[in-house]
Amino acid sequence: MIMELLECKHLSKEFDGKQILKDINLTIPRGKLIGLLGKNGVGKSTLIKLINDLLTPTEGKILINGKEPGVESKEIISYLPERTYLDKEMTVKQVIKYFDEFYKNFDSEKANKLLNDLDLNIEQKISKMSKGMQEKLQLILVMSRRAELYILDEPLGGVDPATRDYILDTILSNFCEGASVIISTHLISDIERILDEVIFMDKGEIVLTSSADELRNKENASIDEIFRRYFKC
Amino acid sequence: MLGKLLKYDLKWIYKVIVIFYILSFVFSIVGRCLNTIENSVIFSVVTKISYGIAISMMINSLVNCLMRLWARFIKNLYKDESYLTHTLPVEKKTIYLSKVLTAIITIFTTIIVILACLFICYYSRK
Repeated sequence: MIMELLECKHLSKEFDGKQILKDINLTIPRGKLIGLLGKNGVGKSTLIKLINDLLTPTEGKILINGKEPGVESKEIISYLPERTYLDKEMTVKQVIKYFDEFYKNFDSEKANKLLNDLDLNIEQKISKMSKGMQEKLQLILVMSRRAELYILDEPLGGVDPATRDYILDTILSNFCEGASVIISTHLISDIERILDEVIFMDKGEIVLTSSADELRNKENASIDEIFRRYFKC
Repeated sequence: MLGKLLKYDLKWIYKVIVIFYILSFVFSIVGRCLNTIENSVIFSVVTKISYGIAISMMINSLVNCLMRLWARFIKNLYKDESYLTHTLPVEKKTIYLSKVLTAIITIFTTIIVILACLFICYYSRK
């Protein structure tokens, strides 16, 4: 029996009496680019944090390669959160060394090459870099890992259109063959050109799962237009 | 993995505290040396100032050590950096153990430095 890369079974999460996720059932296959799409506050980041063992489920379970989140899943998942999570007192060189030491699958040569392309001074402290450069640095670190699953939470938020194109091209050209990428965003028009599959979330539930091409053909519209129709206020 | 976590935690704490250690030693030694010069009001005043600075540096070492331990604990485990710390392929208990060991090591070395400086300042065979 082929083990799925990621499975969520009857997954629910409650915070302070409020139901954030309700009975999520989800399977992520290998080798796909998946868009986790939804308005702000529907539970996308909560689902991502549960997968990364940053939160524990109220009900249900998550299985990554058949096992619950833990040390083994963290070795194969490369996660980019929506905020800067690096120690800003470190230099670029120090943070590359940090990743190299903790992650066996980190490719420091690839990271250095990508940083060279950006003309980034590796002796520069992260605190001295602009927000856009910090986001690019984090993305490079995440994509330089030979992971089986990349999870990018709002990678396009708060950056200019040229940087968004750079981010999308970096994602496309650097993830490992056979790996899957989950991109959570509400900026759908920027991202839909690269997606194989889409998952729509609303009010803590998964409301639609489909291949991107099939959905476009069926509705005769772009994913962005379908999303706007679906979630019209 | 514990060794690697300890390395980064200790580096973060010591990179500031070591300055206070050095200043504590320097002013302890200066004060002790100047204390040997008798019959001089100026040197007597400077000696007391040196001892005063040495003692304040010793107190600073301990206070800063405790403050930096607390800051590291909160930043690394509960603020934005926690997204990295808690997604490292390391058991959670190892992460917390590293913080506890860092606290023990840094507080112990700070106390040793303070005792050494006090010995330099005030030891007398009489």
